[in-house]
Amino acid sequence: MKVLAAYNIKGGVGKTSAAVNLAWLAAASGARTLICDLDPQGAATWCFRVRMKVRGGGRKLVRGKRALARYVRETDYEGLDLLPADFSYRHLDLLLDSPKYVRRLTRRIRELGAGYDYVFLDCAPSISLASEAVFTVADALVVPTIPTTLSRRTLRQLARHLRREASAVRVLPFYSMVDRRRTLHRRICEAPEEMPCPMLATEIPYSSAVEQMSARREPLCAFRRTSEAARAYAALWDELVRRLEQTRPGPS
Amino acid sequence: MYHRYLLDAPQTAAGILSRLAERFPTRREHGRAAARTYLDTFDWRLYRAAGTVLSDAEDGSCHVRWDALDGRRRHRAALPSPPDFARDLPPGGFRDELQAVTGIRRLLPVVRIDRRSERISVVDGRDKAVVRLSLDQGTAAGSTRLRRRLPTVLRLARMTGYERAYRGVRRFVEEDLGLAPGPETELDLALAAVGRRPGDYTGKLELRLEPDARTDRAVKRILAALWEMMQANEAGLRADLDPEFLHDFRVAVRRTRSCLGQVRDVFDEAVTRRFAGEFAWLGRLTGPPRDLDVHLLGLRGHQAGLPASVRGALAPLAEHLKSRREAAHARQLSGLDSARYRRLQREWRRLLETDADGGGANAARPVRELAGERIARAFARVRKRGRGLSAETPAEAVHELRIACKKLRYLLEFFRSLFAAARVNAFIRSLKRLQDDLGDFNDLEVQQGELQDTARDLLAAGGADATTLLAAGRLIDRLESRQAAARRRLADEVGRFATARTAAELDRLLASRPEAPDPARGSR
Ligand SMILES: Nc1ncnc2c1ncn2[C@@H]1O[C@H](COP(=O)(O)OP(=O)(O)O)[C@@H](O)[C@H]1O
Ligand SMILES: [Mg+2]
Repeated sequence: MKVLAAYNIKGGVGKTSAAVNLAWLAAASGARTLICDLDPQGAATWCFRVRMKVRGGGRKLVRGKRALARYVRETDYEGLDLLPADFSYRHLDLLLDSPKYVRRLTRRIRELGAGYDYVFLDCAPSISLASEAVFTVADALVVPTIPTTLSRRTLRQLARHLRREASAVRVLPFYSMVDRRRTLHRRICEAPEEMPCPMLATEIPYSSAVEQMSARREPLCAFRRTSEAARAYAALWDELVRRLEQTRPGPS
Repeated sequence: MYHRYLLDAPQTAAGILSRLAERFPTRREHGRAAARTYLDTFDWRLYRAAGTVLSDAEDGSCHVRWDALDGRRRHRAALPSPPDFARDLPPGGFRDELQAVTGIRRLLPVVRIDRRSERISVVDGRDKAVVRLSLDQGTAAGSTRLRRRLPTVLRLARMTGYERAYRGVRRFVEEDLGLAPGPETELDLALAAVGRRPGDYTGKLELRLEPDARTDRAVKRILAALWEMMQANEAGLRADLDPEFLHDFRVAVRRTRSCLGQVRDVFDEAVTRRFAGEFAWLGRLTGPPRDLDVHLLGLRGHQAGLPASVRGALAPLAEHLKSRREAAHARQLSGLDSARYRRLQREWRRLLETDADGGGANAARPVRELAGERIARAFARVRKRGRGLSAETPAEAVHELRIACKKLRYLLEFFRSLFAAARVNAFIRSLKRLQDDLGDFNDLEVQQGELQDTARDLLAAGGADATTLLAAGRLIDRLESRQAAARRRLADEVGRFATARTAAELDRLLASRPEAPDPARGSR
């Protein structure tokens, strides 16, 4: 099992779009895949047409005794399951008030993930107690980064925070919503060495096709597989798989 | 989880879909056409492990999946072509778990299906699928080109998290449409269509002998079952599909020789002597390639525990063994193509098929009586050979003990149906522990010798440099120390098995009667 979290301190950067499409691609390659929607806004849940409701809400998610598997819904795509979001997740930090509960949440996610090859976490923006759990349980943070000066700063904040916490999670940022016609985007994408951590080579272009996902309520890769953005997600997934393999301890 | 319903006529299919659509909100999905091949090893290891691996050829690529027989999904992978062995899969859980089930056995096509599926989903208010349905039509082909039509099947698939919707659709299908779910999986239907039975080969003797039957009749049945085993493995052995065909063939030959040698005076003495000689020849013929298989497999196993540099240095040894293996296989083939083998086949079959008196002094005695005598004797010999075995016992004596154990084991397997199954099984389990240690000891002995020979050959042929020879030396050292450890374990095991207590257990076994066959469990 590999746990990948689509994470950024900022909202509206393409986390959900990335999580949804990468999870779809993983499942399409034959991997048993789960996507957990941890954002109270439930954008991923919406995209898969699943009702946003976890009986018992955030309390059950964090403190419940019964396995999380009972909340899982099979999506319309073979091999892809979803743990839906609940509006009550906006109070998650109140429930995570002791380290004990943060540990319990990570354990519950790990137990749920045991039957899967890949688990994607679609996270709410901000650094919070819930994101501490994400940093612990995830093998890697996949960080969509819009090529702007401000995003560079947020990425630096994240890197610094993880260093301070001595977190072992890998940070794999990629350029998101790239508009090559804009000078600033171009300049930042062409100077990856100025970024606070190494960037993945694949960029996701700005594309109106991505925006259509929430109206159609399907992953882009499912309804327009050959679009430029869908192919970019496929390339991103290939790159991620390769990068995750590189950490394998020794040859198998 | 799913349910399957057999439909008697294709026109029912169209009607069913429209009635479903009247009752539930549905969505039409893309239809699917697939050329599907079910794979398993010759001895049905996957089926026995309650699973099935299949490969769907779809638009140029090949989707391989491993499902449990009840439809639960285990693994999938996309490959350029169907795998021949588990090791052809990409690294990961699928490969490792499959390897654990199929081992070194080749995945062979069991049945091929051409299938068209019409698919619809029952959806909820969000147009989200909550139950999947498909109507499958197709044909199946076994080992020949002949295609058989498969019954049309309506399949309901439950989706996790939507159990209630599934119950509703299922109730409608069963109560309103009046269909009854069938227990048969697609694989079952396809196998039935092409006339194959899952588990039709096991490599085990599964005979039910009558205790009062004449010994010659019973022995002929045992020999006939062994002969069938040889015949079943011959094609795979000739085509060299995997090492187990040759292995099972040889086991059947050895058991045949053991039966002729140990269950004495059943046939006319000249007949026994002649066939014993012929099967000994068959054993010699198939011996060299098997020894090389064992050596190659052993080398692969030992290499896994060595550092990469040493492993690389051993590669020339493996290559050399492989080429020797090829030559040995070719010699074996010409033996199997000889007039001598054909004559053996012809005459042996004739002997097994006649009802005539075997001609030996024991021919007419009740088989249970003779079986008891022979088993008791074989055990006495094991005890005698095992007595005083220690770390200093020469390898020859260990070898003799190994043979004695093997003979006892074969007798128990021939005649197991004459005694209480639980007792026989327990006794065999106990014997097997000792045999495993004897086998390890012997394999390590043989492998050291083979390694020395191979290294010497390679040196003489100018194909080995110093690193390879040093690596071989290192490996021999390791084998030697493992053999010493095996011998220490062996002494303990013999002390445990070759005792008066085991003898008493054997007496109870030989006095026991088989349980009446349980009618609920069928004839298998
Ligand atoms: N590559 C892209 N091109 C154009 N619009 C995008 C792209 N990625 C995301 N969007 C749009 O931006 C908005 C935020 O994206 P989303 O994936 O929900 O981000 P987050 O999860 O980080 O808040 C959505 O309306 C989405 O459709
Ligand atoms: Mg989001």
